[in-house]
Amino acid sequence: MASSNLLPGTLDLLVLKAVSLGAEHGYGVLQRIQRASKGALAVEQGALYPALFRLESQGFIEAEWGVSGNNRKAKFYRLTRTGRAKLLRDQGDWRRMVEAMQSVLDATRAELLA
Amino acid sequence: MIARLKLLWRAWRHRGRFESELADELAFHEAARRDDLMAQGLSPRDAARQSRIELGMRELHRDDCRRARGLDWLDTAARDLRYAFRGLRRNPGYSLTAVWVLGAAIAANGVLFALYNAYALQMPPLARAERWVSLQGVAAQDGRGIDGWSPADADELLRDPPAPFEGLYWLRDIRLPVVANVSRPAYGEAVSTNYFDLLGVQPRNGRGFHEGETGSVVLSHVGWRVLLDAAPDAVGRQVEMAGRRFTVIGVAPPGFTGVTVSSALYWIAKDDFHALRPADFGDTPFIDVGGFLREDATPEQAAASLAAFATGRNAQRADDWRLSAARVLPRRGYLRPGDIEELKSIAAPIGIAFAALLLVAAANLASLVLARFAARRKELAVRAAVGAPRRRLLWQLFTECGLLAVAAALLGFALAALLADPLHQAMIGALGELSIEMREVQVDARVFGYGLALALLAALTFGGVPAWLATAPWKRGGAADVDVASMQRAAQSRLRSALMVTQLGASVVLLVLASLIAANARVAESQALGYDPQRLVALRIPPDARMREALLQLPQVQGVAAVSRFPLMMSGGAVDARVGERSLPLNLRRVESTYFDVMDLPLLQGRALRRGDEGARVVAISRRTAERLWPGRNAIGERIELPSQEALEEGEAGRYEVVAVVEDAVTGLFIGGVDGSAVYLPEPAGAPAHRAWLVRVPDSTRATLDALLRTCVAIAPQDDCDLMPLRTALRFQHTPFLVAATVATALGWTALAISCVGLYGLVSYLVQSRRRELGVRLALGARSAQVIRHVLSHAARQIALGLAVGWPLAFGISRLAASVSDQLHTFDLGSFVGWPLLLALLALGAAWIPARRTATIAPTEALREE
Repeated sequence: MASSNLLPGTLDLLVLKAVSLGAEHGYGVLQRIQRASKGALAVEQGALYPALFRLESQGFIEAEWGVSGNNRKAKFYRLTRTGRAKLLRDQGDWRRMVEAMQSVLDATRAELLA
Repeated sequence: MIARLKLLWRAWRHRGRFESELADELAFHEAARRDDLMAQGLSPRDAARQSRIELGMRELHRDDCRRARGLDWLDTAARDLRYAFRGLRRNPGYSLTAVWVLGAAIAANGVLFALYNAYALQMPPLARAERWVSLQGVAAQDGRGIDGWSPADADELLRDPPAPFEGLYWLRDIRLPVVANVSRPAYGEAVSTNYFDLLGVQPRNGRGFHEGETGSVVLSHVGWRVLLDAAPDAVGRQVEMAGRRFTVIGVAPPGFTGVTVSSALYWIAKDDFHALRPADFGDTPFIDVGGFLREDATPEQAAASLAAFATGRNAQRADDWRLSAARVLPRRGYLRPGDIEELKSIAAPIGIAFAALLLVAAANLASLVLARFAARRKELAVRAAVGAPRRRLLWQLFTECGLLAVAAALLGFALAALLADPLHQAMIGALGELSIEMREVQVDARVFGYGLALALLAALTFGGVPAWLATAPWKRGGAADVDVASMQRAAQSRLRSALMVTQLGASVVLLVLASLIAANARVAESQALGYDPQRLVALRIPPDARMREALLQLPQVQGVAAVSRFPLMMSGGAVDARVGERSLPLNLRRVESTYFDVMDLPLLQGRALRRGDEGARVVAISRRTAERLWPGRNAIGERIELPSQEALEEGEAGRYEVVAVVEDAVTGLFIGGVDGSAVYLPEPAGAPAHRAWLVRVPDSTRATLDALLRTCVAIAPQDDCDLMPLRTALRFQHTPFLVAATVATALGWTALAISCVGLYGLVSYLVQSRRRELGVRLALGARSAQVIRHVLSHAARQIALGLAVGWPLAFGISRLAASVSDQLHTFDLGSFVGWPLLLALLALGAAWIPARRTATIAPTEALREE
């Protein structure tokens, strides 16, 4: 967990996806992203909380105080209905972007001249 | 968006909780990470250290979180507000001057708006007010809107309202002589019996009308007070209206005084009004039809249905009243839509005068603010040096102006709330004598909103330019641009001079015009009428012998005369006449021979008119008429010929001999002055041209009027028995002059006070900010008197320039007024010289007080302060 190696603008999507798997506190969200990416994506810890606050302000997630596994008071985030819709939309956009990028990267001279 | 604002509001409202939760959340994160690191084998100390390093600077994250929630700009605004407040508190002289100057102008504008609000914008307390509409026809001839409907049309509409309407009511403003605890003509409304039910108004005592009910009256709360002295047993009592007995069945709640602009004292059913005044029920469209739209209907749909009705009945209407379409207009207040347009055209010039006052205040403030910002140059430089961009500097200066504006709006609102109703009462007091009860003017949230908007607008104006100029050297932030700074100081000084000259000029214009209007009002008031209006009462009713007998039997009546036109309320009456070879217009007054005794007009030449003169081809003329027609000669025995013409009644044409010359009098409207061509033609009571009785009484007191009204109603219940004491007629005609004079004088004085206070504040501030320079002058040997002269000469130059700008402008406007009416006196030495001179002296005095303070500056202290 060192410096961030995320593409700009992808943090919100990652947080929404992590929260969509079930209510989770900030540290848990961080761990979910790291585990899911098998350690490839490291989110800067300081950037996570402003992102959570921003998404909450925009109504995509909501928060509630609860108790963590270690019996500590923690703030749990959960996806809202509008958040779920946004996640689906952003996921679609991301996949189309990846496909487009892939097509460009796989392109050969012969294909482009055809 | 709403959820976002809710979160922001919660965070702002419970700021402590927000901060502690944010700290808890970050602390939890650190603790959880520390646990994980310890589980990976790190010592507790290393794990704690590592987790702290990974999380980074907590304070920065907290700032980012606050920003993400939108709290950062709220924090900045609160800090700026606190800072501006402290700054203003440290300069109480500047702050109080600014708040007072703007507050006075806001108060004046607030009062004006409160009056407009009371008539045009305030709604009667109705259920479904948002669906309340008026029905208007559109004339086929010229496309003008016709507010009223003929009785037949109105009845038909009420019988079968078009589908888009939930219900319609019938209404007419009426005036009937009422005999109850007092006897007086009283305004009310004749309405359809569904009126109260449809409007959703529940009488406080008793009930509203039942369908088809007659002989009943519902009193308004005012009517209950005025007509029955607020008797607790009012319901069930009898009152006499136009000679018929009515039973009081209810008293309306205090807030409801009808739906028209004057307060109704009572409501009677339209069928009763028909029985009382059958002659009024012709083809003329004089009935208001209003109602409520169904929830799903639009005014356009309703207008389309109404148009079908309106055009379908054209065959039954006279040519003038044929309709080509109809409108359904949503009601927004007591005034009908057509009346609102009229009011706007009257209110516009008044509004301009009030806006001028606001301009004076804003110009005044701008020069004050300019001086203050200039004195804060150093502080602005420090802020810019530590990284504040120009945007931030501007915002801070604006915040201070905004704070002043809010304080001024509060002061203005308080003053307006205090003054609006007394001023309104003073202005329309004469209407009360005409038995019209006007509604109360209340200053409500809308007036406050208006005042606040004006104040903020003024703040943007008076703060904007000075703030822009003051921050110009830091266009690119950091160090000041030296060239720009010196140019900016020169620009500030020029702007300050221009502003001071502008406001002094505007004050001169307002003062001169106010003084001219007041002078005209004085001339008008002192105008000799030639008779005592206190002792004369006009009774507008076709004269006949029975009424004369009845009136003469009253102990209060000293004489009566039938007249064609009674003084002060009726003008006109000009006829073409021939005198010798000359043809000229003369004002013909047909009077009974008793007229001169009743008026107490002295006979100057010839003999008094007597009974036998009526119809005997003789006339009396006024002194001025005699001097005009036969200058330097005796008019008695001369002849006046009245050729046959439309203005004469049958048999009136012919040659007349002048048998009497009487003293001059104002026989028409008071503004017309003494009648210079009055010819009195004696005719017996009941002649076709006679319209009214003129009654001589010892004093037109309430008891006398009461007795006259009771007698009139007893003899002629079918007539309106319209009583008009001439003192009321006179007061009514004085009213516009008095209102204009009062308003203009108040505006003029306020402008003068604002200018003086502003000049005082400005010079004080300049003296304060030039302490060091003045101290150096004194240290170098200048005497105090020289320094005072130096400070004053600057102020005097601006005052002189202000007069030079204001004088020609005031003269121009007065000439413009002169072209409108030749009755106005548009030159008055006192107005053009006295007031501007007083303004100059007062302004100089206002500058002198702070300038004198320079004499007290100890040079060593002034230098040490730096």
